[in-house]
Amino acid sequence: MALTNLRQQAESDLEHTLEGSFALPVILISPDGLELSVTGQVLYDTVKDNPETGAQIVVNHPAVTLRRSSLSQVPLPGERWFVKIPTSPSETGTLIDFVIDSDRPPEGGTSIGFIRLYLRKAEQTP
Amino acid sequence: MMKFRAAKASIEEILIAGSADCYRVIGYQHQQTGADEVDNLNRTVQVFYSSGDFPKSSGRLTGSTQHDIIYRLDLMVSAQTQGDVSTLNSPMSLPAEKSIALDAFLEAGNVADNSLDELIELIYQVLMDPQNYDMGQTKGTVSSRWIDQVQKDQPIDRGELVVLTASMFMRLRTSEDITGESGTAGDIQEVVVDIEGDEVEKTGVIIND
Repeated sequence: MALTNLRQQAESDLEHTLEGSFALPVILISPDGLELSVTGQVLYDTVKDNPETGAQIVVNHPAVTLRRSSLSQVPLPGERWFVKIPTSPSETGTLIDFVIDSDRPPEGGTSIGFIRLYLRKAEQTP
Repeated sequence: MMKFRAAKASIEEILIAGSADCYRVIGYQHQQTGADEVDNLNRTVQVFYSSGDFPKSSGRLTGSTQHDIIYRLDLMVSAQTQGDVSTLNSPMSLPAEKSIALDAFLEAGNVADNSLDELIELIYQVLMDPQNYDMGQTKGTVSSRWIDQVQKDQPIDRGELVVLTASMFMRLRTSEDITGESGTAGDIQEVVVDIEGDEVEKTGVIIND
């Protein structure tokens, strides 16, 4: 189907920018327990301000950016989702366990066609 | 060494002896501690001599002086979100089971808070144990000791982990002595006293200067 406007074009471009050569496998488990396997952009580090010193620091705080149209169910603020991403930027890397950071709701929206999830590491209860 | 320094070292030894691998006692750090270095049972305790009070009478020339000491113990823990990850990762789990497992997850801040409470309890029990009344010093050195305050800080978001710190303040009363300077023994001076006319028995006096 021919694209009629720039917004549709921009959304279509997400297939390349988020799900193209730089994409990594991402597995999501929704609050209903349903598993979604998609690909998306995974960034492992985030630049933040150290609240104690005010200086900028780089912390291990992964963020996953996904194309909304590729998701059968889109995470909503306040929902708890389980997320698995590779340990390193490799399609065949071991997947490690995270949950969506409850202190940072998902960013993005329908207008821009993608959603960014900030992750918090998860471990087995002893 | 003054007693406040000896007592500080003793407090560290007592904490190490009572750790049971539930925490670590650390000293001076070259750089800021990473959040992943203090997760779970790697939580840390650091002891500082925080302040001391001496009465006005400590200015007298002789005798020992009372020293009211405050030691600060800095506690640090970090934690991840915890839950039944094995159920979520199991291909045999049903969606309903995964949903229940997800719902039961504990937030990292909650886990860190519980961990810090447990650490505070451990430290308090070790230091306030009656067997440690003398804080590892000779009996009578410590006239009293007690933990009078615990102060928790706000959780710090460190990306994947949450860090939580607290300070415990321990008061201890002891006495300090002024060691001063020890005198140096002088050379032995031999003095011979000649009495006029006494040619046979020369009389001498030895003076130690």
